[in-house]
Amino acid sequence: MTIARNATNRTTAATWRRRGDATLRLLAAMPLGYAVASLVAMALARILPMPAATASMTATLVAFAICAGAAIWAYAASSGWRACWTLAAVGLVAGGIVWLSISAGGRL
Amino acid sequence: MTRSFRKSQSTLHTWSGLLLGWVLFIIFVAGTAAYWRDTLNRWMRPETPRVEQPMQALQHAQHFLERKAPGAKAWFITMPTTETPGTFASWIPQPDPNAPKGKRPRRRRDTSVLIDATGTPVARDTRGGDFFYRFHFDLHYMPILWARWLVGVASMMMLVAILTGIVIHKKIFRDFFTLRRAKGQRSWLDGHNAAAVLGLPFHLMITYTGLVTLSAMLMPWAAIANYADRTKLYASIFPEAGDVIRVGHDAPLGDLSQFVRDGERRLGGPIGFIEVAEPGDAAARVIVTRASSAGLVTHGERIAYDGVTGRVTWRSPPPDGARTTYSAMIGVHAGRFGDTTLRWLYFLCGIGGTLMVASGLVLWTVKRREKLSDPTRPPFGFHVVERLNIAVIAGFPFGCAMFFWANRLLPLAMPMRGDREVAWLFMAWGLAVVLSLGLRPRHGWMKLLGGTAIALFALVAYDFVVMRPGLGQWILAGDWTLALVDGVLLVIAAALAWVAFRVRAHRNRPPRSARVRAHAVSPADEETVA
Repeated sequence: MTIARNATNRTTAATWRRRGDATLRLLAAMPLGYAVASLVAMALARILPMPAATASMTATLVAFAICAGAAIWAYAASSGWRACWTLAAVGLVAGGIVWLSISAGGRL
Repeated sequence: MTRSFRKSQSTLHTWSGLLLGWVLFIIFVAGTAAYWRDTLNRWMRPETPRVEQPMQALQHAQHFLERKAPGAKAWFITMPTTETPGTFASWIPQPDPNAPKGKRPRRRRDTSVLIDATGTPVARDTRGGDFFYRFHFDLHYMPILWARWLVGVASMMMLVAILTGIVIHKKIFRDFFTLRRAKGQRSWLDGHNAAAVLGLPFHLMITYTGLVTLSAMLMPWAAIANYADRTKLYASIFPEAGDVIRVGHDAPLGDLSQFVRDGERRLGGPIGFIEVAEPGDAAARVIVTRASSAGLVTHGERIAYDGVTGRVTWRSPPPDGARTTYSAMIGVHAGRFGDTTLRWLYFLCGIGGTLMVASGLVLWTVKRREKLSDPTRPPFGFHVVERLNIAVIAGFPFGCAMFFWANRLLPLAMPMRGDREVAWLFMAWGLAVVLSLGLRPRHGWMKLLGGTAIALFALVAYDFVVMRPGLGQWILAGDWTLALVDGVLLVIAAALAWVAFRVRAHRNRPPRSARVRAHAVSPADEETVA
């Protein structure tokens, strides 16, 4: 009886772990991937050595590739957690660049 | 590339392809049809005489507007060509100072018209090929903003599906030359691969550039990073000539065809669009825009003229490198620069993409059906995908066939006729959805595909036998563009009929499980399937 219940608990735990991992990857691919692509595009628009309009447009054009790359990484990473924190780290760095750059230089 | 990487990408490929795959299918169908937008615009107004002299047609249109909307705030005229049914024109009336504030502007149908080559408005009210063009990114019956986000998200998933598809496809070249017929899952996989690999450069290009066409909405962040007021960016990318102030005394507007001729000389290439501000006033201004058919990279180069004296008053500045790249991406997506041969290539690639999406969706069910523990009681998700496949892959073309039939059958005097045609499409599609839910899957496929084939065969027969002028007259007059529309519909009908017969013949084969054992797949093959 006890053994059987333990076995069921173990199975349930494994199922929930798998579901959690799948959810994290989905979150990493869709909302997080888009957020990271947006932040990296913003950072590129700030630091590319071009006139503002050209830099903004160039960054927009490459943003979709970054977005797709983020989704691929979300599933390629060894775990859902890893996918999330690595993408979040990239987003934070890009966001930091944007924040510093705008507080220093302002916008048009 | 490790095996686990490929496996992880296989999961992503399956789900990003499936989730909005049905939206992608209709986007592909509509986009493919939209490559023949002008042609369908003519084909769906069969009694309209052909435009032989575009300049003359433009003069007729100008005379029409001078009678119909003299002293309007502005006229907008799409330059007619020999490939269009006539001159599309619209106007904005002078704002009424006594009108209550916040009142909705007049309906567009009251202020727009299609004028044929002889100067009379075209009687047959239809959306024509423009329907497919708008439907391709605006869908229908839903707010445009939602529709474009849905299309944008679907496109992003398509991009991910294509990239992951390349990753999981280990033997991309060997598999391309492999087509195992009548072997269930293997055949579907081979077909999916062939459609995908054959058009791979096109699929990648069309998906990425499609995202770029929606980029101002999907990815505004790079613009926000540099501009507190984004209108400044758009003002620098899309410069405007400024407003025109009405002076209040009349002066005759110059001949628009003269402005077009001058614009063509100065801008180098055909003019596509003419905008007249304050026609009939002494302050009138004419702006001509270079046509997107002028070349791969067109930015809507414009020249503004004084509408009375013909003096050049403004010219759009040359674009920068990024703007040129952006314009090239839009140009290569829409293919408006292409001649007939290139248009056919675009069309065939679009069909390849449609088949890739359709076969991918079907493959999802084929793969899973063989692994079902109890084939008589598949899980709910399997049912949903199986029925949606029928409702969309077989149902949407049925709706399109009925759209064409409505165009032929609805009386010309019917009010809101153009909208009724579109309603026919969606009513027929709704019927197809009901059938796909009510019938057993095999019957659903058979009846809808067969029904669409019959409807299209009959349509071509109608064009030939009943309609005047119709298919026979087009062939005699050498109007091959219109005759080929019926030709293409005939080929599509034959293809659908062939598939319907294949589905019908399917039952007489031994059950799948037995055949799968007979043609056991090798472990190496299994890896690429994942």
